[in-house]
Amino acid sequence: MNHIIDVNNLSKSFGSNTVLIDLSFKIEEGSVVGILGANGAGKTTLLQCLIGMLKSDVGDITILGDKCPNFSVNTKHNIGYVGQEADLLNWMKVNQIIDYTKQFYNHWNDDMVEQLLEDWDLSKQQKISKLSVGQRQKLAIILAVAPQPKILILDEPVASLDPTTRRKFIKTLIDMNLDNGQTILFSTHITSDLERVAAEVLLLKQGRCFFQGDIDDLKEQVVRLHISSKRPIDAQLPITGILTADINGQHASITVKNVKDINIDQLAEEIDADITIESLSLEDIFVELHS
Amino acid sequence: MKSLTVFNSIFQRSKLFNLVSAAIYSTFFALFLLVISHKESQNTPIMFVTLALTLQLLYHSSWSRFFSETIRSPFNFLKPGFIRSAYWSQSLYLFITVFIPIIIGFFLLNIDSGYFLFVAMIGISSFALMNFNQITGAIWTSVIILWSAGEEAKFFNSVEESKTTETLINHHFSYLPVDSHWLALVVIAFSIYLLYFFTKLTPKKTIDSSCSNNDEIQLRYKARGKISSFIDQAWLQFKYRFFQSIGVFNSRIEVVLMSGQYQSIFLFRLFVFVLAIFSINNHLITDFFIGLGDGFNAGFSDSSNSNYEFNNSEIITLSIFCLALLGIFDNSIFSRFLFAQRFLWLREPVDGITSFKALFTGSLVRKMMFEIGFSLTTFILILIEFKLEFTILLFLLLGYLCLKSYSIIVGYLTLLSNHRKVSYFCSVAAYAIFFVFWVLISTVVTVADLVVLAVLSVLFLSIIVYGFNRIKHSKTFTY
Repeated sequence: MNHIIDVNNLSKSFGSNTVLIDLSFKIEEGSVVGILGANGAGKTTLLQCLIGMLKSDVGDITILGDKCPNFSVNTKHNIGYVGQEADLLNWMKVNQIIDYTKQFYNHWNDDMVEQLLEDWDLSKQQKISKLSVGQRQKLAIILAVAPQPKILILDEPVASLDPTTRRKFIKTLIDMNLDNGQTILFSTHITSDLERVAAEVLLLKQGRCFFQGDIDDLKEQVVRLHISSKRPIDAQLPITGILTADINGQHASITVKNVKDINIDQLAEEIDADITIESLSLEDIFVELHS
Repeated sequence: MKSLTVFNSIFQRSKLFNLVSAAIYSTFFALFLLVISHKESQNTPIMFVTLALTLQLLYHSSWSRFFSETIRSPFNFLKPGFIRSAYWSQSLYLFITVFIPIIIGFFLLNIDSGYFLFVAMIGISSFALMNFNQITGAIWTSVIILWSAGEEAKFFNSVEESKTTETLINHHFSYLPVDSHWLALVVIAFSIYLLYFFTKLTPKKTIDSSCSNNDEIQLRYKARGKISSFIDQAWLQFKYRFFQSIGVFNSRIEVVLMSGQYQSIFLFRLFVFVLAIFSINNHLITDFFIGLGDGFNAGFSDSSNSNYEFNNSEIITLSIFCLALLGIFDNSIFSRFLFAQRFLWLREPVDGITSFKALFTGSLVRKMMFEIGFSLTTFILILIEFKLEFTILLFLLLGYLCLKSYSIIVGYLTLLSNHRKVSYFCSVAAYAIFFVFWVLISTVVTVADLVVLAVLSVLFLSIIVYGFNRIKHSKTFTY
């Protein structure tokens, strides 16, 4: 597999506020990766650094073989980006901005544009300044996907969309990935959407990469251990990688970072307790991680 | 054509506005061609000036603003070929509006196209910052006033004979101590660098993080769409720390007002002040201005003479330059107040809207008085240093009064979002007409008449403002 995005030791600060700390990850061609993190975790900063909108303090970013921010025209053709706030040219009408954007690209899927405009109830004659936040977001997405770029970078693309449109959009993303093998990188708070679309997740916590890999692997690693003992459980449990611990007398619920590092049978014997393993949903993991 | 996508989009942005502008320009251009076909005509210089003023109107009121907004829009970031298209579009615009008249003027009329090119190039460097537009507009207007005043004086005094070969060869920049071609080259290079700089700056819509040391200064992040220069930021930091150390900041309003301010116009005025007061006897610096003055006075003196003393017309030349720069009101005061009003309304604990407005009105009046007081004091100090005759002094002070009043009105009008385009168009048109009017009358009327005309001008402009206020019904910028 080719690495279409390669990030090495990326750090970014705003004054004394360090937002990204020594981030390194690679994204393979054709993968769908969701970036998950709490508010202020650095999702938007990361995406803006990736496309060169923000200059990183330290580190290298390579997209399609080009070093950021010096992208060639060919690379620019193959990157689609939708920001958190849909920054459009407000003085234009919908059809005008479509024609305007189309001029810059070699490939443009007119059928897809027409279909999405119809599906998302956007009139071509509407003025952009009169569109609602959600409608603007829809239009920004249409303009980003129409050139059929190899990489689609979306910063919380569904945040302003209603549930119906959100589902349609997710379906469109899945189709694009399946039909054209497009690489999709998007940030979101909505874990259910992420689970529908993405196979991989990049979990950010306080500017650092907590996990990168398959969602299934994450779910296998981060689990909750329910411990029941006949005598009070010691607060200092011999467990590594504890995320949260709720110890209440003879019962305890411990969420661990990587269950594979723990020998459950040995642990049960050591503390003389019964241990059951509970799998967590992505949302549970997110909550446990930030609680 | 892909390369002209930006051009098309800007043209389509306000079709009516652009068509009207194009019609005005075409009319003057046609008249210009008509006039220059009669080579004996004495109206040629006036037509040329009118053409230049129309170009200024078009450039500053339409293209310059739309172009700068387009290149700074984050939407265009990452668009393949956008920067190339921006360059092509700017080149085409300049070719149509600047180079064609230059070529025609040069080949058909032997007219001094060099100055046109020179001034137009200064205009290019100003497109990205509205603040620089003001300064450039002032410089350009001064140049045109001086040039046309000279031509008019010749016309009225019937001293203009048929142009000699020497006159055609020498142009307004022939008497500068440096080669005017090199100077033009530096200006062009600077203009291109600025274009490059701003196209690179496009994605960074927020200011540099170096400002974030002080929490209060971060308020600038709230002022969307404003790009501050390095000088702006450095001066802002310095001023903030200085005022804080001496305990001048009494309220959050002061901080917010400062944080939304463009600093460069203030620095520019300081520069003018220092240059005018302290360099009047410095030959290295004054040679440049003497040469410039000589150019506009058809080269009657020789700037190479080290014992050269300023003559009266050169002093007036410098005075009018200073008038144009100091007379312009710092319109960012209005935008700062608008921003501060919006920002603080939900944050500043005050008792209701009346108290809030009263608080702001006091600050607004103080700021305006300071701006007017500072620039007027500077101007008077310069004039005292120049030892002008009373009549000219009065004329310049009246000019200051009119220009300051007018630019306050312009600043106010441009802030009204409902009528922004119309007001901007009207104000720039009036700006041009106003100065031509003043130039013409200054050659024929008495001082007493000038006083009356100055008062009438202010009244006339006040009526325009009143009319605008009556027309608009909502979204008013009020205190």
